[in-house]
Amino acid sequence: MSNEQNFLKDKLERLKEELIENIINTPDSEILNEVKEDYGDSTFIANKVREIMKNSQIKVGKSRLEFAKEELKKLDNKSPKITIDTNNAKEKLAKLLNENPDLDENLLLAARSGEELSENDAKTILEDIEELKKQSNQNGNK
Amino acid sequence: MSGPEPEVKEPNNYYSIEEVREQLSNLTDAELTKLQKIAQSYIFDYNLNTEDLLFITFEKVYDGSRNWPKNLKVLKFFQNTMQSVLDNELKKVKEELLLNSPNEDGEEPINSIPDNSAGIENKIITEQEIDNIFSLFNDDKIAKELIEGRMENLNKKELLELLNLTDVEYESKLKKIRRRISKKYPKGIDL
Repeated sequence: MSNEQNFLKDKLERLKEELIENIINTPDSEILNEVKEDYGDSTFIANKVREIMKNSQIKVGKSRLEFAKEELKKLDNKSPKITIDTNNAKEKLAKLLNENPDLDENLLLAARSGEELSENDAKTILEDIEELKKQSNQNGNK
Repeated sequence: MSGPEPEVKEPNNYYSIEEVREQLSNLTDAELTKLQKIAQSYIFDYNLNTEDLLFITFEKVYDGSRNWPKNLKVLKFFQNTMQSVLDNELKKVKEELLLNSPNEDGEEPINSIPDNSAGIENKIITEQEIDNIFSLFNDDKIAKELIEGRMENLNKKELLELLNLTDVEYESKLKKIRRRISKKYPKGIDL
């Protein structure tokens, strides 16, 4: 910006400052009377500003939601999927239960009705147990 | 090499985001009106409208990128924030212009960033525009002298003495100046 521009801008800035101070210092009733004079309704401008405020709040809310979704996606991608060898899942589950009598009782109940379990059910239970072990290790390390 | 220590925000000195929401939801009609009028004053010589400045300012307050000190009243806080928004947006535009400007040989930069921003710019102010403001008050010598005095950086105390005004008369004169300029230039000066 040229020196002349800066000079003229500074003049204008000083006037602006003074006018803004005047706005701030004007009694509330007077400022609302100004609006009534101009628009016939003292709440006209206030309502417009409320609308702008609401819209900006919505925009911020949406941005936060998008951000949270992105973070969640990253988290899902980071967590390793649990893969275990689930061939002969029922046999493995039975062996596991014999060796670990203190496993979660619900799992035990489900597993002990072993004859009714499908391979898929057994596989699911094994995966759950693996997950429990993992969480238990993480809690132990805290 | 370590950089400067990031500023640590003392939690109790600033409103939290929840407190900000509450403060804003409790704004009175008068306060909201004053915010609009302050924004309108600021955009006088920018290529931005009042609504946009208000929207950007509210956005920055709601998303926490502008912290609200508890010892600052709402109007002063918004006055500072609006000024800061304008200053920062102008800086961004200038930086983008620099990035996209041709090199010494007149060649465009290879990886120039497309200028998708609306870009807030200062409008060019001429002597003529300053004269136009003065001429709005050809019927009021005191108003003209007040404007001139303030532009020449005289403070309120000096102006009260020079113009032989009371405090009330001074504020009343300023109100007249403000209203007349705002009616003549509701969207700021024309390019």
